This record gives sequence, C-alpha cells and structure tokens, in this order.
Amino acid sequence: MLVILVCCWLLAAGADASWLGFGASKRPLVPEEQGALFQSEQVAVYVVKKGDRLADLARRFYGDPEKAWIIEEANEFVALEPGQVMVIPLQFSNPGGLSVDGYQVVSILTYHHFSNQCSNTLCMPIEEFSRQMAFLKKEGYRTVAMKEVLQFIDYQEPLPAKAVAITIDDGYRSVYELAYPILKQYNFKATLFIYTDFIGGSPNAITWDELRELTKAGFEVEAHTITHADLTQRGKGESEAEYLARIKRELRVPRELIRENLGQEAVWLAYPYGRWNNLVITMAMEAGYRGGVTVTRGASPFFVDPFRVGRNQVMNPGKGHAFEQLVKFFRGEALP
Amino acid sequence: MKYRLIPLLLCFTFSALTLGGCAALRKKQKVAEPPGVRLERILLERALEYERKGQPHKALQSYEAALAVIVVKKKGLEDSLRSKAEKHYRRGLALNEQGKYGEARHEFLVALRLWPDFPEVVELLKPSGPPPYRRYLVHRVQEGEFLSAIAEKYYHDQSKFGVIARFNDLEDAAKLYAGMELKIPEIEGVRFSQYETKRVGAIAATKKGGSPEAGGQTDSSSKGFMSYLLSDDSSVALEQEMGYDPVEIYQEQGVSLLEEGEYLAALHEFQKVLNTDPNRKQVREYMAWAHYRQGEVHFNHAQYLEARSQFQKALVFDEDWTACKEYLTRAEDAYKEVHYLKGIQHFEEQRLKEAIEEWGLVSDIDPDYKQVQSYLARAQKLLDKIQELKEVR
Repeated sequence: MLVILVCCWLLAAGADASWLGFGASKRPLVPEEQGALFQSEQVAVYVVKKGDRLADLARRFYGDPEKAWIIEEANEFVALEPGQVMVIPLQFSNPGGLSVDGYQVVSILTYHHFSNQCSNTLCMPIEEFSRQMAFLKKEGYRTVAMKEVLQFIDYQEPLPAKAVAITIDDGYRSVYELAYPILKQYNFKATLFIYTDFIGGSPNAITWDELRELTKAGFEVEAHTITHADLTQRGKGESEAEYLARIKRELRVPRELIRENLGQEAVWLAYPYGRWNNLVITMAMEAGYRGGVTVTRGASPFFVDPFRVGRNQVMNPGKGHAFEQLVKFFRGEALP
Repeated sequence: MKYRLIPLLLCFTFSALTLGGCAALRKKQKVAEPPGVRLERILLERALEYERKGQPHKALQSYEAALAVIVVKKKGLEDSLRSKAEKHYRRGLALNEQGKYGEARHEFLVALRLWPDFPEVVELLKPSGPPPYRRYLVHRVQEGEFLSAIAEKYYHDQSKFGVIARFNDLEDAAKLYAGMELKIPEIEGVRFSQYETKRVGAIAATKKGGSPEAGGQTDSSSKGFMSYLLSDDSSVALEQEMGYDPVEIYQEQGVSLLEEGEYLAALHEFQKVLNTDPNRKQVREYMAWAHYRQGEVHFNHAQYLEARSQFQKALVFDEDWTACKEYLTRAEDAYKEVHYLKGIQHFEEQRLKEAIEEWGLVSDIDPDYKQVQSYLARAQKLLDKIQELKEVR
C-alpha cells in the first residue's frame, strides 16, 4: 500500500513542481507538517523540520549515525529542507542489491605497507594512496568494514550501493603513521589483518596501543594467523597430527589475542599468501571464523563463498592494474 | 491501527489535492491513466472533501473505502511478483538437476530480484559451502566422456554426477573437455581404498589399450590416491590469475629494507618467504646478511652479547662464512675482556660480589678465559672468610 502511495506522491511531485512554483528539480514541501511521523513496521514517513541533521535521524531510526547513507539512498536528495518528506525504510527490502539490470558487488582492496619513498611492489607511496582515496570520495564510494561485508554475504543487511572495503595486511606501523591520517581526512575506515607475532616483534610493526586507537576510530582488526605461516603446507618432518595441531593453534591464538587486547571478535581470516585448501577452510570454520579472504582478484556479490572471498592487491603504480579498474560496485546481468 | 494510518493518508492526499491543476493538465494531454489509480484517488479526494465540509463520519467511511481498494491492489501486486518469482525458482531447480548450474543461478537471481524475501532461493544461491574436507582422487577426462559416466565409474551411480560438479565448481556439468582434471571426492557410502584406486587406474589403462599392470601407479587418468595434505593445491593454482607472486612481494620488501639499513625489519620479511619455502637459497643468503649487519650494529654499540647472537644466527644460514665467524670471535673476545677487566676493577676496589658477577659472565661463555677461574676462586674465598668473621663477631 505504501509503495502505491509513494508512487502517487512521486507522480504528484513531478506534476506539481511548476504549479507550486518550485524549481523543476525540487520536490514539493509540506512545511505545515514539519516533524510529523507516520510509521509502519516496514517504513517511516517523516517530514523534516528545521535543524534536522541526517546523522541524528539515522541515530533515531537505526540507533547508529553511521547509517545515514540508508536514508540518503532511499530519498536521493542533496540537502535537508524543512517540510521535505522522507521515506525511511525500517526493514531491508533488498539486502542483495539486485536490480533489473544486474546485481551489486563489493570490491575489497588490499594494502600492506605505506611509505614516502617506495622501491617495491608491496609498498604503496603515500601520495598515490592519498590520490586513490580522493578518487573514491569523488566517485561517491563509502568504505565498509569487513563485518558489514559479512552481513551482506549472509543476505542480512545491505551495503551502500557504492561500497568498498579497504583491508590492510600484516600490521605495519606505516598504517598508523601514514595511512590513518589520510583515511581520517576522508572519514574512511579500514580493516586490518594482523599476524600476531609481528605486533611488537618488529621495529616497523604497529603496536597493540596503536591498534586500540584505530579500533576506537571505527577500524576493525581481523586475523592473519600467528606467524604468517603457509597453512596449506606441512612442515618437513612434521607428522600429520603435529601439522593439524599447529594449524589449529595458528587459527585459535590470534582470535584470543585480538579479543584480549582490543575487545573485538575476529570473524575473518586472511589466508597468508592467499593460500587455502579444503582442510584449512574446514579448520577455520571449526575455529569460529565465518569467512576467509584470499588474494584472488575480483569483486564479490552476496552469493560468494564466504571462505573464498577475493581481494584486489593494490600495487605500487606501474606494477599492477590501474586503481580505477580495481573498484567495481555493480555487475551487469539482465534479471527481468 | 486503521486510524493511525489516517494522518498518513491525509498527508498524501494533500499532495494529491495540490494536483488539481495537474489532473487537468493530464486530461488535456489525454494521457490514459490506469483505471485503478483513479479509483483510490477519487475515494481519497472524497474523504478529504467530507472532512473539509465537516462531515467526519462520512470522511472516515471514504478513507475506509480507499484503504480497502489499496489493500487489495497491494496484495495483487505482491501476488503477481511472488508467483513470477516462484516460476523462476522452479525453472532454476530444473536447471540445477540438469547440471546447468550457471543458468540455474541466473534464474534464482531473477526470482530473488522479484521477491527478495525468498529464503529457499537464498539457500540455493549460497555455495554448497566451504566443502567439508574430503579425500579425493584426481580424474583426467577422456575425449567424449560424460560426467554421468565418471560418476558411474567411481560411485557406481550415474545420478551422483552433481557431487563431482559441485566439488569442482563447474558452471555446466555437460561441458567437459578432454584432459580436464576433476577431483572425485569420497562421499558417504563410498570410500576409496588403495585397492580400488589401483583398480580404477587399471580400468582406465585398459581402455587406452595399455596393460592393466602398467596402469596401477603411474596411469595418467588417475593419479592414484592422494593425500589431501599434498594434493589439495586449489589456491596455488589460482595465483596465476593474480598477476603477482604473493611470496615474491615479501622478498622485494625485505631487500628494500636491507638497503635502508632496517635489518631487523628485513628479517621479518625474509622469514615470510622462508615460511613457504625454507630452502630458497637467495633468501637464506639475505637472512644471513641481515643478521650479520644487525650484529655489526650491535658490535659498534658495544652490545657484544647481542652482536654474538646475531652472528650465530647468520651462521645458521651460511655456516661457512669466515668473515662472520671472525666477527663472532671478536664479539666474544670483546665481551669477555670487557667483563674480565670490570671484574678486576671491582676486585681492586673491594666490591667482591660485583667482581664475582662480572667474572661469572665471562666464565659462562668461556670457563678457560685467562685467569678467570682462579680469580673467581680467590674472590669467593675472600668473601667466605669475611662472612665467617662477621658470624664470629
């Protein structure tokens, strides 16, 4: 019923514009109804009143100011005006991001180390990183944490239409020193995959204190084993039982350390070197992980295998694909 | 409940009413309006009109009437979407059974697009899962071989072809090519024994005209029973698609760090390479070099014990490195001499305990260094005597 009403409204809006004397791009306003709220289980209709801010509305309806994008995407407006009628979805109607001409995908980007001066592939020159973040902002991308990606894969909650997940592997201190200030500048967040022996074990590794600061700023920390071991490889002279016990430990300990040090529950595993096999996946599931990321290129739809989610390593420019080609948000396929 | 909706309707009706001019405009343009849309609008307008005239009960009745129409129409729209979605769902199921998984997925996506709240479809779209670990055989497809025949061969049941298709992520079970390698997982009720593995190999060999005996171990159509620990290299095969080597990048990073003089950090990078390939010669050399240079740094800061430990580690990676051995000796000598002299100084200034401590350090790594044992003994004797005197007093 509401759908029909909204349609009526839109029809009216289109036709009314000239009659009410507004510019063609604006919708009719109902200032006399300011602050009015009509609500069903599915949807709320709210008339904007003076001083309303999007983040406050998101907090009011979703309990989370970060969810303002849902209201923005549902209403397609530029600025809030008193009397503006807003439709606020209260139940997710399309968590998979499907439409007539295709479906949503999310690109997961991977970085490692940042520096002012780089001489190898793994290292991202910080100026280039800054340019890439500016590109994402300009194109209207929003960054999402890997836990949100999990909700999307589980067909539970939608992602912003143009979503990108920034992941940073291993735990170099340059993440904190160089990348974090830039991410903060754009109000972006990232997910760090750390191998726990590295933290505090190397002069150029991030510390638990620094990680704590990042998590307070909305970053997420997930697991990348203890020693960055190739989980698919049995060591020379290692018995099968020893090997299994070793993997089990490599999977268990990082979750414990992240919980103890940061109070976060790690649910993602980044396979070191992107190497996985059925045994590793089975053991990761048993260890409580809910997904695993590889280093195979490509963007993921909601129906991806959660334990084989591809990521795009962003290379030092000139050594890999152009950044612009790595970020995708939609895959065309006629779904009539 | 019904009444709660009234303000909402009011709100929309307001907008509908402001349409006065617009409706006229439409008439002028002779745009044919779907009859239904008119109906609920008429009822709404009537309700508003009654309200304006101060006839609330009649207004209520009209709202009720408008709602009745709207509810039925909404239901109609829902039913139509739902039934379309179900049609695609059933089509998808049928395609799935034929092994056309790619096309089936397309149908499921259409179904879900039409009707997003369709748990059965969501379930079907999910990958059959991180496949539970299973042992498997590798089968090389022969020219003209069908998946059902392969299922018959290994499972004695040709309808089990779907198991193989799923395990190998096939988009279409009918599209096999000669030489393609398929993993045949063990399934419930079918356990591949060593014996059976050989037999399977033998059959394939016979078909190709070879002798069954020759087929057993080395036959190409079945590599025999592989331990998953060695054979499941799914992700390694995918690395070719990535455009970079996920191990090499660490080596490069290590070399950069070496050049910057960040030896300890470089060691961590090289260790990551050795985690996958402990015998990589060049990286072992880098490890040796990084430890050596770090040792040198410690040596220059008079941290002889730390230097010694780095030189020892360097020698693990390159045991014949003479320069490193010499450096190791120099570090040890310097360490011993420093603490030996400190001991003497303490002794001369009558700090026996401190002297013993220093000489103890020397003795720990080289018990035969210069006079260290006799000095230690002498200091200990003196200390004991002093202790005795104190007790007597």
